[in-house]
Amino acid sequence: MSETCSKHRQKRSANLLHPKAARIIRDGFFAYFTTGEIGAPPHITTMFYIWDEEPNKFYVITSRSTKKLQNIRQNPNVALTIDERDPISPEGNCGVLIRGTARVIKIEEMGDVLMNQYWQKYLTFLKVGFPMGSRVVIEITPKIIHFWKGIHFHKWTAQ
Amino acid sequence: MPILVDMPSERPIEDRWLYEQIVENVPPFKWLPPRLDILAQLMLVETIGIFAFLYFQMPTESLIFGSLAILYTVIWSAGCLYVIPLLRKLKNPTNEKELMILRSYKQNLLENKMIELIGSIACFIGISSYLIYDQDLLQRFLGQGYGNLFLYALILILSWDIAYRLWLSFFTTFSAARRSIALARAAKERRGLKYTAYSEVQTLISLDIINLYWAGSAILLLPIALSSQLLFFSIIAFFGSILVLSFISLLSMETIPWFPPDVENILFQERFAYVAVYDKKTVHTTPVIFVYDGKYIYFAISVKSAKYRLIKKNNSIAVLVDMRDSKNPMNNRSVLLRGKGLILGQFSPFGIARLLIYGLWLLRVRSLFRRKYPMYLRYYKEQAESIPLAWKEKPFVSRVVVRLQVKSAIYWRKAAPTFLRV
Repeated sequence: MSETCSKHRQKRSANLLHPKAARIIRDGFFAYFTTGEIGAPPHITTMFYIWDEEPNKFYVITSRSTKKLQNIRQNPNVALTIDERDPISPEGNCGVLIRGTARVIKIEEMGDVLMNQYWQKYLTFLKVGFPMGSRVVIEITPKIIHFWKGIHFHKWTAQ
Repeated sequence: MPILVDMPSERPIEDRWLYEQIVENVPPFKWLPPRLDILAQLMLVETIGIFAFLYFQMPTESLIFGSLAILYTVIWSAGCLYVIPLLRKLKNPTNEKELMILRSYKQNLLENKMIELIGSIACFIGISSYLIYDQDLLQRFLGQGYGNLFLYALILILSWDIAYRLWLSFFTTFSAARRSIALARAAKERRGLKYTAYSEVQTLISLDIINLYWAGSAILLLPIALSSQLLFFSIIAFFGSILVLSFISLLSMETIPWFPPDVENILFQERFAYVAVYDKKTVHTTPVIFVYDGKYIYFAISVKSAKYRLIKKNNSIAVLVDMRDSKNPMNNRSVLLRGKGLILGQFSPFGIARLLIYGLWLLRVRSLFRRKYPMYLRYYKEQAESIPLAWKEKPFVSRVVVRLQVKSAIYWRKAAPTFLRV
């Protein structure tokens, strides 16, 4: 799993993201979104997400009254984990951990291109008429991206 | 809207035990706070006892035995300070059947005056009849005071105090055993999100331990019981019955799962969990393999991992386990457990001390991992030569286990959260 192995660590800029890491992010369907809460353990939820490769930002859409929004207002440091599981061998497990800062924006601020991308990815499940009006967007700007594949670990610091 | 799983409130149990009613209504006890009441009882009864000892020039062993008997009643009463508030604070299970069992248990203990009174009177008759029958014993204890009505009255009062407490100790333990067996059976028939929160299960276990404390305090009566074969065998039978009943009760409580079936289903079936830890003000989330033993979640991590380093600094962690519906992700179910992580099996003086406490659990956890992840363990075995030490399946050297002590739990179904009481 995600054990640290310093000899495999690398530092690269985000635009040199490992192709396998980029593939996991592109192909991933769910992300595990984590926020911190003052005086309490972290809070994780499974989310739909999209990735805007240039300028390397991640977006998740959520209701206005969720715990994660309350947490982000107190502490904007968040994490997004996208992974592929292999129940047969630990060597087949791979994933990406994106650590960065979150900003809450209105759904219109996401832009039509990204919104269409989101709808295309999840349309089958969200269906027409999904109440988007009551929702907001969390924009995540990565600071550090970790990638693991089996026992190999890579780390990028966004520049 | 989030849903909080809870049951409708019931009429609070306001009734008192006879002992409490006496203490709350008789001066000077009614003027004192409960803790001082206990001391006041000790001082008052002991003073009367010493006065009688001196006035009637009774043998020294009478002073010792009398003091031990008084001490027993006072130590027992101290247990009441904890038992009764615990009983009254017990919250309702969400499983109807378990709710009925707990309600009946509380009513039996706190409201059923007939059982309390008849049992105590029967016990009192037994003790006082024996004292009337064994005049030699009475003469030996009372010395020159033998035949004095005031002393007889004192002995009868003390006998009642002892009889009442012995009976209640037995009755509470018997009720606890009956309750635990019934709860364990009812827990097997749980459905959905119906359960008894594990904080309540732990409260019930605490009550069982107080029953043992009550029985243990009766050891103070052992020197008196040694004066007569019948008394001795009676007290041994009392200890034996309490031990057996408490053992049955604790064992039954151990079989009760701490989470409802819908949550257990996810925890037993799913193979990956996501562990979030704090890294100063930022968060760090990665997948792990884990096992669930019906009470706790355990996950194995490498001693070289960031998680290990971070949990050592801040053990406030969260674990999310989700069950995906491949046809419709909107039907996904997940459970988020948040609490404190306890590292087990680390090579340090503190870790070794913990190992002495949790060693047997760790063996069980290891066996659970072997059963749940045979392929993974085969991989670690086959690749032992080629993988780095940090990845090897070597307890203490490269791997530790983290146990999550859950403080809060949220269950999601169709994106709707349900807060579970823990």
